[in-house]
Amino acid sequence: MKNIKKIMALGLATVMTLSVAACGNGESGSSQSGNQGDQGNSGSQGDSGNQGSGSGTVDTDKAFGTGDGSIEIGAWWVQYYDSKNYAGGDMFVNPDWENAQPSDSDDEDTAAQKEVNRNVAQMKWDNVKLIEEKYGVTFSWENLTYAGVQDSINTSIIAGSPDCEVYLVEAQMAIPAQMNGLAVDLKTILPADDDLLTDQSNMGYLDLGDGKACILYQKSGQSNIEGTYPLGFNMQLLEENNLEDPRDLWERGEWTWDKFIEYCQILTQDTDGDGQVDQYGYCGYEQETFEQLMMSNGANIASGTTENLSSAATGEALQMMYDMYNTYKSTDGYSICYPYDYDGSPSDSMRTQYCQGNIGFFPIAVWIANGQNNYSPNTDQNDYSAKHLTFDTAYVRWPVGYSGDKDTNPGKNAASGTSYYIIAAGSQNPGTAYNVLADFFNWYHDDVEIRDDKATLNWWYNENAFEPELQQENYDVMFDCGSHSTVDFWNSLGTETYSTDAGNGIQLLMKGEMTPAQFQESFKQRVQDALDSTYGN
Amino acid sequence: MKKKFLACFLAGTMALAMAACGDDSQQASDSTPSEDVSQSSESESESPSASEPEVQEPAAEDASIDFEDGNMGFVSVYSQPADAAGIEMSIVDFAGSKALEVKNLTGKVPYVAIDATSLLGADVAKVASIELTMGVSYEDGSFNACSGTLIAWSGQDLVESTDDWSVYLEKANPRKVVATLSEGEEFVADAGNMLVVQLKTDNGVDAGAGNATLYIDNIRFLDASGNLLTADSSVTFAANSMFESSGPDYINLAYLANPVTFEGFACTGGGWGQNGFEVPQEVLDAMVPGSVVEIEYKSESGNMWMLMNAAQAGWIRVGCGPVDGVAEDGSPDTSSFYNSSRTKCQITYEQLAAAYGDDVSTWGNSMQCESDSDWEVFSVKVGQAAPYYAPAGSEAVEFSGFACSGDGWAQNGFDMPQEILDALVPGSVVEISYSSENGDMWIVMPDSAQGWKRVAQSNENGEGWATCDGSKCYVTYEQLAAVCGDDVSAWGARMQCEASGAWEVFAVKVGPAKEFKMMRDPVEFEGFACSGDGWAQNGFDMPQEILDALVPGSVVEISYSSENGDMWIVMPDSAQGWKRVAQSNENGEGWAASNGNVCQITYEQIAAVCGGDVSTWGARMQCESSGAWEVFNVKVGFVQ
Repeated sequence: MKNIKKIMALGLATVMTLSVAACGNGESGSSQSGNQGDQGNSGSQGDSGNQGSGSGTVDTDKAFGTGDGSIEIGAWWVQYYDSKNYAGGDMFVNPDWENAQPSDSDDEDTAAQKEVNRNVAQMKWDNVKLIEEKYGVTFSWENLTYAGVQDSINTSIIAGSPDCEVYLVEAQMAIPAQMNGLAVDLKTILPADDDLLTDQSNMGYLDLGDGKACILYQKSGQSNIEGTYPLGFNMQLLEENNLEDPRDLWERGEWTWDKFIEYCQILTQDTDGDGQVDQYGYCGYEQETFEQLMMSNGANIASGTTENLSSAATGEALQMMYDMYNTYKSTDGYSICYPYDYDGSPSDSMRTQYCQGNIGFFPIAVWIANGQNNYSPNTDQNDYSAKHLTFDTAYVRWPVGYSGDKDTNPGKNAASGTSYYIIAAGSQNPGTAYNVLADFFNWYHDDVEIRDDKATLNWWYNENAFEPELQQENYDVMFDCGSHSTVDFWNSLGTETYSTDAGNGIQLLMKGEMTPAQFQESFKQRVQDALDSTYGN
Repeated sequence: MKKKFLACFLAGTMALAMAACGDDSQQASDSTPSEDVSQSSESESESPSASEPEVQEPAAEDASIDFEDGNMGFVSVYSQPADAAGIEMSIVDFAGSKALEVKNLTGKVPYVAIDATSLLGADVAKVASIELTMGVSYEDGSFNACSGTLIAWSGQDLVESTDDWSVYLEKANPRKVVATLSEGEEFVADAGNMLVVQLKTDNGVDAGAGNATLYIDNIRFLDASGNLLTADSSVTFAANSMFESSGPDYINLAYLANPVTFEGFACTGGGWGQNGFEVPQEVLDAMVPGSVVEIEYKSESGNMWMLMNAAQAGWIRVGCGPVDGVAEDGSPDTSSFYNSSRTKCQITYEQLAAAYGDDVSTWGNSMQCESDSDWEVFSVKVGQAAPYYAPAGSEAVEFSGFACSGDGWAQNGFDMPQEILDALVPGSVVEISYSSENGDMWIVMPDSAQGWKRVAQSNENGEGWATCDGSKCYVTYEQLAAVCGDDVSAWGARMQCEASGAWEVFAVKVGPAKEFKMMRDPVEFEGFACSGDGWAQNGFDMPQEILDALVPGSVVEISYSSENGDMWIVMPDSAQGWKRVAQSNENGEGWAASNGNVCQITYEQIAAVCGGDVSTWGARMQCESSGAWEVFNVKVGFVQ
């Protein structure tokens, strides 16, 4: 409910803006229209009607001016590296800097990492001054509190005089803002060859399928790979069964649901001949399995204003999940999936069962491997001199479903992302605000090797595998997943959305107590109702 | 509430827009239920520049409550939440008019309850939205954004719903905020319906400005048509059931068994001023090893301690500790034990003996109290320190069908089923949910091989007294064994209850004893405030001072709320692997002592899971619960 409320906070914005804009386009003499007048002074009055209609466009001639010379970024936590801190002249209050100071107890790796971090902090620090000089502005982070960010967007942007030019927002704030015209569509002011609209090497935007570029995010190695759940596999188990490396199959476009099931059937075995199966093709927590199967089939449930639970592609993903747990068997008749922990804590047990070495495939994330100390077996989390596991875990993209496409299947659901940016509709100089933000993110001056220095990303490498070569390969798979992001709020619509009196709908599907068609019919209206609430339809 | 808030906001915006079109500003100001937009406009036009902030006075408009008459009897501090701050309220001038000032005394979260039912009478059922003008200030004159929640308790069942509020810009401080009652959240008459203002996020704390002082003004109760409802500001706050305590606040204290009251001990004093009385003989007699002096008090700082000012050993404060970082000369370097709301403190015989020696006859016959700020003491008692237990959880076994009553000194009970006999093992406790005329309760074992026996009533067998708080009574296996012997099979078939006055027992359970420890001088785990969904972990790296405090005999205390009332810790980086501690007794460590607000887990429990060497426990400490949870703070303290 909380998340829905967050979305709803912005939900009625379009209607409200329309009511103001309808009047603002005419003559107005009351104090209420003062804000419209302010917009007019910045050359955007005529565009307020467009904002009301949801386009978020601005006057391109004025977009790159400097206004009053200040760019404020509304956020809800303390940020560093801005003109206020620079003017204070004291970087030592910055935790990045403080935590990177050398210590006598630092080992060689730690010392090297700290040195990199100090250099990064210094570069970001120096970058503030460069931005100020380049654009003739100061910029500052304003900690408005979380509720304050929502209030500021709800009131000041709608009123036509945003408190801040830029807002740091969650996806659940950002998407309604875009849909309701509260965020500037950068496609209306940027040249077509701008990095954002071409390579996206520095910043990317969430593509909601409406042709707009309003919701920005910083591109970096870490931001790309965090939140990814590639398919992990037990390398030795596959080798022992003479199964070709699925990463090679992926490269050749042969890594499909059918091939995946074939592998799982082979891997599911009674290895000690006691009449009991003790090795399985697959084990995973229900949410990761469900979400990844959807993405691997190019499907979604709640990526727009209309539910897609009832779509054919989602139906195929549901059928795949149903069949994995109910239909597909090994040649000996065993279920290919490890028995699901319905009565316990499956978010723990099903995510970690692979560590026992008897699972072929499993959803994997670095935080899971880290939680099990897979590759840092000692208390010292920086000690990677040995490993807990008796096997190697390799990562591969999820196999392509019947309606999926290898080249376009999403590899990451960014719905829970918390670091997106919008430029406020009504901002006097959105182009300048964009440039400041872009340069702020490009503190590494296009040298990606500095931005993604392995020393600063060592956790992501060291925790994913033992051998450096495999670490890099796994990292690359995560990066590829992150490079194919989508936004699907299927899991943010409230826990009751997929529940029945008989229990959790996904588990009922896995138990064979609910068919895919029943699942779709039972919950599609709830999803649509939640989306309607979300977007004020 | 949120959805309705926006609908209301929309209505206001549309009304304003229409009014502007019609050039009828008077109509707009009269009919606009919410004027956030217009207020923002005025702020923009009236503030010379963002660099010259000034306190913004919202446009004058009629209010149900404007505080100009000085009345504030209809508001009350709400201190039930685990994170509730101690606050001080008064009427002051703010932004050009009288306003309710809320000062944060303890650095936690202020909660202020506004009694809508008393203010509006039958009209409370007409309320559709409530507007308030809210502002903040800091002692250093700075501005920092603040936000929180407006909590409505609606209907006969006091259904809780929330709206967020914020004051996030200096140029819009104060500003109007709105709570809206959606369908199913309507107020009804005579049901104790209220609005609670909570200040949750205070950016001033991190900015070094200290805690915000909150101002509330111009409370506007509006009906569905936006009409202002009239309130009677002279009414007195009438607490509803949300103010009922879940039991006496004995967290960090011992339960006081067989207490002797220091008759007539009630007095006041200024900061560092002593006051007290001559000690009656029965109180001196009660001061024996294992006893505690319990002082019920209030003080501005929350601190309290005592002196035996005529002791032969000299004039020595006991329980003072290093107040404000200044250790008292000659005093033992320990503080009093304080309950979480700082309304009771306890000083042990052992603390007194460390200052004055073991021979009570040399302590003199004068007892005084003192604090570092203005103080008042309401009572002093001396009794035996007994354990204070956490409520039985799902791990306990229910004594099926145990519900009965009796007159004073009359017994009633039932045959013990096998599952109860099986649960009566060393380390277990019998929990009796009860009421009784005199507040007491104990167990009778009528068929014991030792004969007809009262247990934990008068310490006849040296077993001590039952821990009774008026609603829950606890008698341990060890107390039963001290009277009836170690062999449960010799305890007889029946278990009965009894009290000195008429009594009723509602339920009996047997489960592992989960004792809240006496804890003092806690070390705060700086910055430990986070939340999570059910079975999700969240936490932080342990700073050095926490690692240093984690020694044998210490306890981790978590202030929290959770959907299911439970809470435990996770040590994700332990050398033993990813480990839950005190959740399911997997390593024989027992269960966390938790009551829905406070959870205690001992060093020994962590060590049972992660080993005795703290250096192998890993960097992080996390919290977890079976339902959605929030942790407000974590500290590590020393156990008596």
